[in-house]
Amino acid sequence: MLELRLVQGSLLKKVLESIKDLVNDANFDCSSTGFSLQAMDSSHVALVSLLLRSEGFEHYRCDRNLSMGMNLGNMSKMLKCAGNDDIITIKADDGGDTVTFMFESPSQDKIADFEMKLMDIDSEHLGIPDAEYQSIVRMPSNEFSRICKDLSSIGDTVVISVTKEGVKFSTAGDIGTANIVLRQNTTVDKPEDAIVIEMNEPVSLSFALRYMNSFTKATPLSDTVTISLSSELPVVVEYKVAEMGYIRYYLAPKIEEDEEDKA
Amino acid sequence: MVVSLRRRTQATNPRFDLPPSIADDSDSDCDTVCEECSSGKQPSKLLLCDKCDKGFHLFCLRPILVSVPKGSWFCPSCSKHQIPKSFPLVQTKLIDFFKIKRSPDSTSSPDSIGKKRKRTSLVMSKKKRKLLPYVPSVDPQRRFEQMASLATALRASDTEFRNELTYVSGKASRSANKAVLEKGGMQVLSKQDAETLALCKNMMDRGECPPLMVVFDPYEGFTVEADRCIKDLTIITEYVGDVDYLSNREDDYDGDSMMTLLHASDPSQCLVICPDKRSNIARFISGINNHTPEGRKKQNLKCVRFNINGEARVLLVANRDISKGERLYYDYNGYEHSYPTEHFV
Repeated sequence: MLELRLVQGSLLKKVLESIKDLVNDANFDCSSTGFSLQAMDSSHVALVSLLLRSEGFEHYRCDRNLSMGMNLGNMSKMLKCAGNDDIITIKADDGGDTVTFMFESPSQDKIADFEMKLMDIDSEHLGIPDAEYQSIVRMPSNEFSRICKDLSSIGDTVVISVTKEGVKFSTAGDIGTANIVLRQNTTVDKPEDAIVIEMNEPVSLSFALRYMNSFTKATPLSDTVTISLSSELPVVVEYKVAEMGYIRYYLAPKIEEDEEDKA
Repeated sequence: MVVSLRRRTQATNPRFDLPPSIADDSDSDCDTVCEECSSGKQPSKLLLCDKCDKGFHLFCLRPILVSVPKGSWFCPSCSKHQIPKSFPLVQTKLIDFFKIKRSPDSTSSPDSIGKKRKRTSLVMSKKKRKLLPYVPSVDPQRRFEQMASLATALRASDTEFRNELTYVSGKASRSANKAVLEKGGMQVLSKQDAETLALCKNMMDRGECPPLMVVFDPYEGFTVEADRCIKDLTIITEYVGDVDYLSNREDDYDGDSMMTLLHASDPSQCLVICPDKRSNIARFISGINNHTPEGRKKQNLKCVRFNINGEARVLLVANRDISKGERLYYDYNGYEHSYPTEHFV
């Protein structure tokens, strides 16, 4: 028997909006530690890893470890029917083939329940090792979203370089090139506006912008985004979910086999 | 008519009737030097761009050109036909960095793998002379990527995919391909090996392509790598293309991937395979440099001709165990040493 009650239902709504465009079908794994998901997009270039810890739920009951295969598009349709202030409860029976989403309005005068059929999804879980990243950049999430959107109007690949000067986002395309440099800035009024660059070693990697633009769909979840880079590893773009967990996106880099193509 | 050796190098066909000073090819009176190495040496191998007139040695170009192209040629700067889009920046996959933790629960593949294993173990029982069928990659996604890499290369070379010899009008007909005409005779493919070859063809039809990936190398151009371990004596693929008479193709330097199909005593009956219009992955496999000892060491495939049902066919067979990621090389000059390979890598 599974019953998870989340008072801040909007978090779950935003989580679904962040992943449904990247992944179509995925397994939600429930265990005593929390509600999680790990899925790759169809091209196996990007991976999303979600964790909502059990402590973040008002009520968390998970008798047995459960894996529920869901079509994220359909789940999102159902969650869109929840109000932003609603309390969302996820219910499922062990061995059953459906999951129920219950939405309660905060004033308790409206209760809606939506039942969805579960799917059988074969998933390959990747073992993601804990790694020391060469450079970690923390910046406002809407700034990162803006940068990715602006650069994708110029080119389709972004080169992210971290040096002691700061972090540089560059792209090149048919009409020309673009470079955006952000310098460390911790003297700001609000801590979430700070740009913090932790550089253990300089690093420069190329990534496809279309995936980055999918990742920035998670911007409503958090004021800040953390980008971790290492030359031999995929980049990690992390958005914290309130106090209860995170969404981490992993993106495999593009390796240059030849010299840079002229614009 | 003085046919200047520099006809295609110092002057293109339309400009054939240049003032006689060009005809003197012994010294480089023209100031054209190679843009890469700045030397005017070996003028017969110095190609001129049909747009900007800059000179490039065949062997200074990347990828190296084997012979002077028949049609017009444009240097890398002028050429619009660049390296195909997918190659300059290669998108890696997550699986290149993270290992799979839990293997998928799929019910279908273990059975078919089991079936395949049974087949190959039967074939492998008497090791020595039997040919082995290739073992395709297990993951269908990986096979898809292998096929995509081949498709990109074929598209870039303007070639249509065919997995068997084609006989088109204007070239040789199927009846011309008689293995008995081979000078000295041609070895007959045993019944067992013929079944193995048929198995390979069937696998290909079902989408189980050989475990090979076509990659683009700045020096060698398109070349082929093994995408999983390949055992000694495995049939990798058949060398296919349009079958034509050697006499039709003697002036054709564009066909630098031509393969001898039938070496008859009568030269007019000699046949070659021309993979320029229709072919499969075989045309992208590189040849070794016969002129250096290191070149010979690279060879991991041999190119063998067999009499199969009375017809001559060319198979590429592994001549040692090949590990994943190894580039495939065979000796272009298995029979004759007429193919210029001095500048091969």
